[in-house]
Amino acid sequence: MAEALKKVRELKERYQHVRAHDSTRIFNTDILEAWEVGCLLDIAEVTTKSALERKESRGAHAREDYPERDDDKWLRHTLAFMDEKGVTLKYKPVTMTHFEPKKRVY
Amino acid sequence: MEVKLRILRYNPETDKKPHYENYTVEAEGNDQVLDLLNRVKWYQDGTLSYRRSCAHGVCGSDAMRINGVNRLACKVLVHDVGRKITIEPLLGLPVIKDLIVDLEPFFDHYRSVMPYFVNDEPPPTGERLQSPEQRARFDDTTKCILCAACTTSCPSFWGSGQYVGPAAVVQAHRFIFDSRDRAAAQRLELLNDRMGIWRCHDIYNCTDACPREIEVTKALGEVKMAIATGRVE
Repeated sequence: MAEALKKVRELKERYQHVRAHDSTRIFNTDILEAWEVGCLLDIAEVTTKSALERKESRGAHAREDYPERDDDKWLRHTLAFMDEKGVTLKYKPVTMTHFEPKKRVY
Repeated sequence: MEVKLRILRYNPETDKKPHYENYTVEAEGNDQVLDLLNRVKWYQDGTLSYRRSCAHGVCGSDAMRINGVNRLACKVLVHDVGRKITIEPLLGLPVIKDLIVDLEPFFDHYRSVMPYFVNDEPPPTGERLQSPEQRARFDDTTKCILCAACTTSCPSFWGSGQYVGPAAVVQAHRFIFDSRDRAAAQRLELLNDRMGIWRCHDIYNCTDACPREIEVTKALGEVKMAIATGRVE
């Protein structure tokens, strides 16, 4: 994940110099796709940072270095914020209703 | 292997009329035509414009003419069509740019048939119940994804864009034959028109073109029967 984060940041650097080949003003899907890449890179940075910080395994978030679920420290929602300085992570408690977390076994 | 694409291009800012451009791309047999379009756009000519979304044959965004036949670009594989592929926008609707057509006339016809559930009776405390047989009656026409392949394959529609078109009738059928709905008579009245259902002459292109394999002509026939007999069954 640390590798991935580094790669995303490198791609964001490259993205500073992105250019579209289509300069028309009607239905320009080239500019649209280029814009969407920028958005995807932001989402990638935020998702990777959040995953790196979540030091447990929970459902699809499965890590070899922390193979078990940790409800004491990690039963919480990640809220990610981004500005020019980078990513800020905050957390929010989970509202338990009908289902308790349990081990994922098949 | 090499595949040759012949694509009907049109740039509204500079072209007087559409013209074909040729492109050669590397491809495998199980690549989609959409993959080939992406290859052209991303690595050869960024100005090539087309709509696409799911790339899985369920959203209908990439309906277009592939070797003269209306298909979804993401459902057609290279081994279905061979090494020379002609790609053009849908027929019968105004071309905005390259493979993108103006779908507003298509959506206007859709809106005109009351394509929504109508039942003003006081709702039951639970669900509005329906037997499996009643549900099956209109199951086929629930599959429509509004891709416009059927309507733009219809010679009656090419003849007059005022014809409401098979897709609109399919969407009306979905509610007319739904036992929970109460506006069948109103919708049949709307379709009982020269430019409504009666422009359909059972040409059948629509059924061939439908990527969801809906029996379109059959549904249109059932609507005609309902109007002729005055019964919805």
